[in-house]
Amino acid sequence: MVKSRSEKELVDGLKQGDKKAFQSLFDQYAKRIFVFAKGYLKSNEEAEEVVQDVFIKVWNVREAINTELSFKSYLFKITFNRIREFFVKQSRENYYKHEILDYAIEFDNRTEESIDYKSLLDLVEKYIDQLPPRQKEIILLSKKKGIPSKEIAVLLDISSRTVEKHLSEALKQLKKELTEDHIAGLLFYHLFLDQKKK
Amino acid sequence: MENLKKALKNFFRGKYSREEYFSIQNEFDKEQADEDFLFELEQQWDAITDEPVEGFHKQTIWNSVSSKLEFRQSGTGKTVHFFALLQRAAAILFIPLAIGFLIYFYATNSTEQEAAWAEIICPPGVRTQFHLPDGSTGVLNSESTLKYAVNFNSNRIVHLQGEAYFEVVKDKKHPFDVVTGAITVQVLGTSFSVLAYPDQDREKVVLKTGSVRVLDDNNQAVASLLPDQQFVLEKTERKYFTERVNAAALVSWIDGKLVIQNERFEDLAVRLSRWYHVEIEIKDQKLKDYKYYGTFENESLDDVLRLIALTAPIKYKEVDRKKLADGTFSNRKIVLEIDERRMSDF
Repeated sequence: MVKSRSEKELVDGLKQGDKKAFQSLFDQYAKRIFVFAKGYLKSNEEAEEVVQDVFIKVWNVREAINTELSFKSYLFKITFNRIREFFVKQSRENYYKHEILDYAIEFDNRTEESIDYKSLLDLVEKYIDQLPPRQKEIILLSKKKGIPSKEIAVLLDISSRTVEKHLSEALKQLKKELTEDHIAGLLFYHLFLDQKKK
Repeated sequence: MENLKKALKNFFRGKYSREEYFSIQNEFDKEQADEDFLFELEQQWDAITDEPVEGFHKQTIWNSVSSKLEFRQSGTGKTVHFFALLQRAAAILFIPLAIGFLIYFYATNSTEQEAAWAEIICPPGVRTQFHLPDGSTGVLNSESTLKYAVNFNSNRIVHLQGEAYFEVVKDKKHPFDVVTGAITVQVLGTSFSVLAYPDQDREKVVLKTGSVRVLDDNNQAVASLLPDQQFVLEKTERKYFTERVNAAALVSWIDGKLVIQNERFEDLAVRLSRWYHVEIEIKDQKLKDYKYYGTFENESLDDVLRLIALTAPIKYKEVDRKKLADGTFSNRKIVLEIDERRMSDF
């Protein structure tokens, strides 16, 4: 039997480069980091990356860890910083969805607070995916990647006018679908009311 | 404060309003995180219980942590490094009897630059599977060479001559670049193949999954590919275009399949000659433009020729091999020509 070591002993071991101690700490905290990261990043892949990055960082700076402070709290700070980087990047990548929603839906105070926005974001993605291939390709290049129409024209070997036409068709179509689906988007509001009644 | 608490709770469980989304995004955007925000988050962090979670694979994550920290590569010093790398470079040869996987290192004593390189060379008529130090894998096609710096993990650049298929491990901090000389392919994490033989005018990039950017020799971006797109560069004309393709078919060579989709005989001959390491001559101009469809899986050259002759109006013969001055025999040579008698059958 191996005597289980206290967290303080493990962190001391880690500081001295003990790989076993490092792995025990990994065993203990990997899942917490994963769950926390997934809650904010909504992606298994990125949550996994956060866990990896946090432990690689912990190993690389092990000598500077202060064993007097809570290790759990220390891990929280590293995890938060990594999640923050991913979150900011994600929100930049998702910016086009907000933009399209802004174009398609007129939000007011009520809808701001009551629409299930997560579902709405997923819906935009789904509708973009259902566009005719050419429209989908062009709207993603233009809105998601921010490539100017002129460059898209060169890239796809078509005229700028055709690019613009596809783009406005795509936006028109999205606006149409998103209004039709307004009711589905309100679900959150109803759930919310029901809960209050109880 | 209460609002923030509620917003965090809702966000965490995946049901949140637009207002809540933007309040959280706003907090994450702050250069210096707000004390209250951090406090609420840490409460959430502390409250996480040890329940089973879907999608969490501890062992997989641990494996990549320990491989990135090079735990398995114990010891230091040049010799150990050499063998560790050699072990990782596993070679699988698709064609029996072919021997010729070669990996070697050379270090020059230049003082400033990182000088150690590893090179994987795939001889004619074979395909070679490779593993890069960062965990990325791929297959090298006949007569191709891949070269990378030994400090690869922090410097993910490979130099390619010939054709290679890559499955790149995601690492946002270290972009993965494939450099051919005429183009550079910039990758995040994805699978794609690059064709760049020095003696062929066309260089091609086929994207299977993910996304890649193609840069020209001045490092100017010329294309961003979506899955199932192919980028083609005509080197002499300095012209390029992007087209829609069936990526799975185009990279099927990695599984030992030779897939020919509406390809001109002239191009087909180039591929066959590389695939089987033979010389192929097409006698008629007319035949060069004849288009052909077909899929061959692990067939010998003789079988492939027989099948082509059955399904297209051609006949072929093998030229007798000459004995060369040094006592060896010349490479196999096949001559293809139109079979006029059967022309009307097709």
